[in-house]
Amino acid sequence: MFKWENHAPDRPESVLWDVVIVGAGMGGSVLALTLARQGLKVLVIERGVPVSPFPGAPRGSRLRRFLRPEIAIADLAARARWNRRISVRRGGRKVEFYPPMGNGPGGSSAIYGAALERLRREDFGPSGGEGLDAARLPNAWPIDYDSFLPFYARAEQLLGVRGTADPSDPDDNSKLEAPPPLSERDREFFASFQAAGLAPYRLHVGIDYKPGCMECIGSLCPRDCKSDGLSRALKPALAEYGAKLLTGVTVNRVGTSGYAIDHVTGHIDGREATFRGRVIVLAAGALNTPLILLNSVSDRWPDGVGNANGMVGRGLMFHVSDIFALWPEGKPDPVGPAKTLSSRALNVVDGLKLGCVQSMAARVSASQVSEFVVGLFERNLPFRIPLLKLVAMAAAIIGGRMFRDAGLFSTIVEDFAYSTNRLVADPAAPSGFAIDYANSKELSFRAAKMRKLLRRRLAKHRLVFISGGDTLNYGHPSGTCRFGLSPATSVLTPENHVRGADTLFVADASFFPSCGGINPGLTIAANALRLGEIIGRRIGLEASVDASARIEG
Amino acid sequence: MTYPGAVVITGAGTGIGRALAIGFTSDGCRVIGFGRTAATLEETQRLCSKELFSYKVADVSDDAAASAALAQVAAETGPIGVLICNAAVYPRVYFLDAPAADWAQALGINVCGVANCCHAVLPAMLARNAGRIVVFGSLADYNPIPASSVYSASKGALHALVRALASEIDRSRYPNVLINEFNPGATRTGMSDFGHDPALVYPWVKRLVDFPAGGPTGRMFICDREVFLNEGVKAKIKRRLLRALGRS
Repeated sequence: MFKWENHAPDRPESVLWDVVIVGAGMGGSVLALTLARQGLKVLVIERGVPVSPFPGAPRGSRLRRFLRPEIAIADLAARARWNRRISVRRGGRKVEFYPPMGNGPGGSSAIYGAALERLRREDFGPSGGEGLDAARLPNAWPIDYDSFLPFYARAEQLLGVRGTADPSDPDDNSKLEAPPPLSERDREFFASFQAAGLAPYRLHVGIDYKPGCMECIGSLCPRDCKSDGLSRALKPALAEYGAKLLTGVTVNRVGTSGYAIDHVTGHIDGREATFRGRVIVLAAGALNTPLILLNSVSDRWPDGVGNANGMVGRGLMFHVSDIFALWPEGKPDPVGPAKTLSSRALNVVDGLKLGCVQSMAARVSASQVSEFVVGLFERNLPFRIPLLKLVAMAAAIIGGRMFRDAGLFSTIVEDFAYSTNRLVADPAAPSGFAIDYANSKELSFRAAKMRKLLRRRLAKHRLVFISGGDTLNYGHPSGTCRFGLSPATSVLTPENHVRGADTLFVADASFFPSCGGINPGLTIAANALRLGEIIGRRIGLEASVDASARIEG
Repeated sequence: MTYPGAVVITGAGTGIGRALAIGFTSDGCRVIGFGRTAATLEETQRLCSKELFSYKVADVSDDAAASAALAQVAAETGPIGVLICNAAVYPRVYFLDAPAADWAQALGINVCGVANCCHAVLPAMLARNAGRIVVFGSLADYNPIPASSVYSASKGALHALVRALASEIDRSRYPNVLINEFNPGATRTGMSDFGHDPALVYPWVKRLVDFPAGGPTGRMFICDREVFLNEGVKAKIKRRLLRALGRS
């Protein structure tokens, strides 16, 4: 039986690890697996701690839990979610809220909805409009799409992805397991999307659909049925290949004891601790990884490691995700799997990058609506409304009846990287950083175009957008340590190591120079597999250099 | 009415099991009876419309035998739509007067037998989102009388088992898979000299099996009505209020 304590390192500070990985999210976990499988000594350091995936008995009455926020905060940690607020400055307004991200082994992937889709060929290329705005950053991927495809295929195998091939993507050569049959209502939606020229296909998901599967979206899967960084990468890396995991430790800085970056510094029990590795990998997420770099100040790196060109933290992208309810004609039976439909026919329209549409959930319950409304207000208003939750719940109960028969869908519209959308270190802020993000006009234009197109194409159905326009998807941060060919506009080389620090790599979504209109998880996993080969070769090189030095010395 | 799926009744050789088999077959359902003795099962078959009733000799306390037998039923007759966990033993003996192994064996039939059968039929029921499970319980665990230790302990366990299984089945995702506990009350069978006629039990069980998708699950019924045990005053008032307002 798997026990976390069996895989904790004995005296981690006294070991020279081959690789120290900071962060056990999708990138860190898949990288740990591929490196440990090569026989390397891997230490993963994760800020969060493992929590039980089994839903516990609720504490206190429903009313009490609803009204007392402290219970909600403790609840977030118990549900493997970030339990500190983040501070976002949206063009003059500042908002603070709990981001929809994970904390603990598996990171955000442990609580995600398991959508595992590829970027497409056109997403790797430069998109038009560069140079129109001086703050736009070049967004072509510095690696060849054809050379990346095999890593997508391997990631899909590792994560047991189910679905059907995308008919609108000539490069989709995925070999996926069959998903469970659609509900009657979804069959109707599929037919409508098909008739509307939206070329729908079965969403690619990492879900085993065990008997009684509840498609745990937003929570840990208690049954080893969801495939994520934790279940398919971290646990096998620990249990079968000897990787070690240290939890409850926050890494603040990377550092060097000579020339190369060779250790990370964190806090254990109130004292500073140092973990040394031949190679250091930051996989703490697109928000924490740049923070660690910015806080790693030294004579050589006065503005933070890798920040000589001022690019660390810049180019932050989130995706715009607009949510809409769609009503079927008649009353088809809605019971069936929820994560079913995806359409990428609108990935590029009239030369404009838009994105995808996918099923979000099968049913809308009153409590979901009220949580959503509360979140919407918190993220967009700079002040707190007292008793907001009660108002939201009342609205939800009334609104719930309206939405009972509707299916929920979400768009994912690509946003581009701007040097002015960024993360900066801010010790006074609740998570140690502040985010500046302003929606550009072209993003609002494209998001509006997506909404208009969908309304028009699906005009046969009643369709209501229930999110405010241009809703940022705070669960998908990326781009803050972008890789690229040009030293002026990238933090990382195409091999994912920090420019000027070739023992320091980044394995999370920070490296994206563009985010496509699609979920980032599979791309992070595929890149981690690619990175595993790069680092494996690098350590092999170092080992042979060491060996030859010993012979000659 | 017939059900989209076979009806499996454990303990169909005698007593209530036999009465249920007769009842279901008289309504045109395909019934497969389980029991440990072929002779009594044959007698049940003689009393039912022969083509609609067949039987398998299997000891439900053996999980391999139970799951094999149920898999055979699914292969031969088609998917199982209704499972009636009726098989139980009631050894009337003071706790210390029989070996501890006997106690464990009886528990194995009464509790593990139910768990084994549910374990075998639920995956297919969930995959089709279609199924009814009725578990025979009793209120014996509330005021156990002497010489009823294993029977009382078993029935107490079954209260919890039914509710625990219901808590794991997501009601919005699988609204047509329902599991409930049914208490027939004292019934004149081999298990009890007094009580009502076993033939009365069938309509009460049929009512539970006829619940529509989204109907009650994880609940306890006795004869023709629902029972709420261990309910606090607040919960009782709330329930009565909601019922008065027309919401179940």
